[in-house]
Amino acid sequence: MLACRQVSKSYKTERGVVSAVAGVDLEVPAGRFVAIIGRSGSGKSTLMAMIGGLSRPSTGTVEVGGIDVWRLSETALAAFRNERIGYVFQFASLLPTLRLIDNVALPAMLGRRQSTAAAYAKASGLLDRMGLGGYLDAYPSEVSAGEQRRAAIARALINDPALLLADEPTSDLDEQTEIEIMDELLAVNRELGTTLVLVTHNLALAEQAEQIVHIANGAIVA
Amino acid sequence: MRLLANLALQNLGRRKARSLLLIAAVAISSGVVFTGATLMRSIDDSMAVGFTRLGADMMVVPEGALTNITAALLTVEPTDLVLDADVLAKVRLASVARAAPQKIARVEHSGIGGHHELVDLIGIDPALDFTIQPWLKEKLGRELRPGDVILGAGRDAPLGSQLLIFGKPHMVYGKLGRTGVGTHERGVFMSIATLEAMAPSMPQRPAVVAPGKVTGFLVELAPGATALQARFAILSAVKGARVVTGDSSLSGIRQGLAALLKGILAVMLLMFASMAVMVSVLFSAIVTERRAELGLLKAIGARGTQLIGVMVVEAVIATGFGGVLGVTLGVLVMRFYERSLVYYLDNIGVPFVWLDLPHTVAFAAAAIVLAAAIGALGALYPAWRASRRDAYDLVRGEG
Repeated sequence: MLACRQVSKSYKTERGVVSAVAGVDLEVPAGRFVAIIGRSGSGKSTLMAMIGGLSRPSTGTVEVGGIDVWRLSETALAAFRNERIGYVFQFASLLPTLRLIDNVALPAMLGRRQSTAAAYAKASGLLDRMGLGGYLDAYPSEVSAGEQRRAAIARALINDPALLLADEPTSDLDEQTEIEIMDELLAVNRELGTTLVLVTHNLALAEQAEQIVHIANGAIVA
Repeated sequence: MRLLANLALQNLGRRKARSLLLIAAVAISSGVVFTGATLMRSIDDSMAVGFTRLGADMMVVPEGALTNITAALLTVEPTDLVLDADVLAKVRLASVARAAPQKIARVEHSGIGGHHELVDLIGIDPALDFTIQPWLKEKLGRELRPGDVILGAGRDAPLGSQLLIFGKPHMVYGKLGRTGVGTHERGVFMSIATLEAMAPSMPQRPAVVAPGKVTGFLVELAPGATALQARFAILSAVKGARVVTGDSSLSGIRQGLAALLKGILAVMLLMFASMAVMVSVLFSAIVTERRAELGLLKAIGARGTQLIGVMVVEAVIATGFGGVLGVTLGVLVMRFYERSLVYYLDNIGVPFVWLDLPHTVAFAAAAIVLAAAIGALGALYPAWRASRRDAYDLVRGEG
């Protein structure tokens, strides 16, 4: 499903070249739940960004479902992100001027694979599944942080992605909400068979994963 | 895409104060440019009328012809001497902007006025004339036709009435305002063809009514040309001619004001250019502020063109609305201008010719389209740059 080969990312700064990720090799079979753990600044989010087509590696290749992600054209890469990947970020990532249902339907409408009516029907169903059926017309500022995160998960699922990437999705939430969000992610992984890559520094969350990848100083250490 | 257009619209609503400031800045710029361009064209047209009323820069008459010099060269003087009608057209002098031929026949027993009254019948070329028609105070609502006459201010007959000249009916097409120049005041003006057609009815036929002959030319200098240059050029090119120069200061004022108007136009264009820079800077700041949002859109599959589209649509909505507001304000300013300065000018006899409605509408449309285009161009570059950044950098608020 997912294969990273000698993936590296370095940045040029005023103090010289900084290596964020250095020569990572990673294989993840389809449908698996993988947790990437490590301290802040270890390079785990950068690795996830390269896997998801958000940040171009300095060297190495990333394959998702047999597609060499970084050999795609800009247009094909946009379509790849839209159709194959679902993201849940560590911050409240909903567009503030759109209602929850608009936010969830947006990726489907960007991809133009579904009609507007079908996209909104599916968005409504997903929000309902996340327990937000009563908030379809609410704006992000009108719901709690946990509800926003659940809406973000619904948005990530709208195009039935093969790979769900969640970058510290519970970092700013209380313990109870954290459990609820994790339950949702696990349900997606188990019920829909979606491969789940979770970036976290919370070992308790990581323990629920089938595979744990420990990163330190940009390299896999375990 | 409607959702992206809604997104652009809602983004404008999210930052109300900034959006209103942008709209106000664009409204002021486009309003100034629209009002300025409309008024300048109106002033230009009014100046054209006003200056031509001041007469020609010089007259070209047959050598030996007597001339009565007045402050304003409006008509030639009656004389038995003639020039060929195409004498100036043949030599094409660079120092001459235009030359209007005139035929003047001083006749008696014409049927106009008293039996022995000497009447000046003056033939003009309506297409080239620039000293008679600007003085039209009233006229029929159509072009001058063969058989029409224009009366000097010293003669009176209703517009559209028939006037018998040498027993033939001629229609009064228009009346001139008062000029104080005798020939102009008492003259009866018509097209050269009308005057020539009258010749067979004249008991004594002056030489000038023969086809291809004129009494003289009223000349306007080309921009930048001096009276001295034109005088030498004409005298060396046209044998048997005499050049009568008018008030040279008028030529200088005419040319100076034309240059000034061009300068004002350049300033207005610079103002629009500065607006373009301002919009571009503002949208650079807006794009910077919204990096995370653009990155998020990119992360969920928005293509580069869609990201650019959101920003450009947002800019076009704001600046286009600013353009509409500016044009509306401009119209109000011009209404005020009309009720104050134009009213005053009209009262003291200075003509002010407003730009016609189709041109005014075209200027308004151009100002709005230009404002929207500047918005689009201003947003295009920062949006294009953002669309080429890594989505991850944008999401993290970098890049």
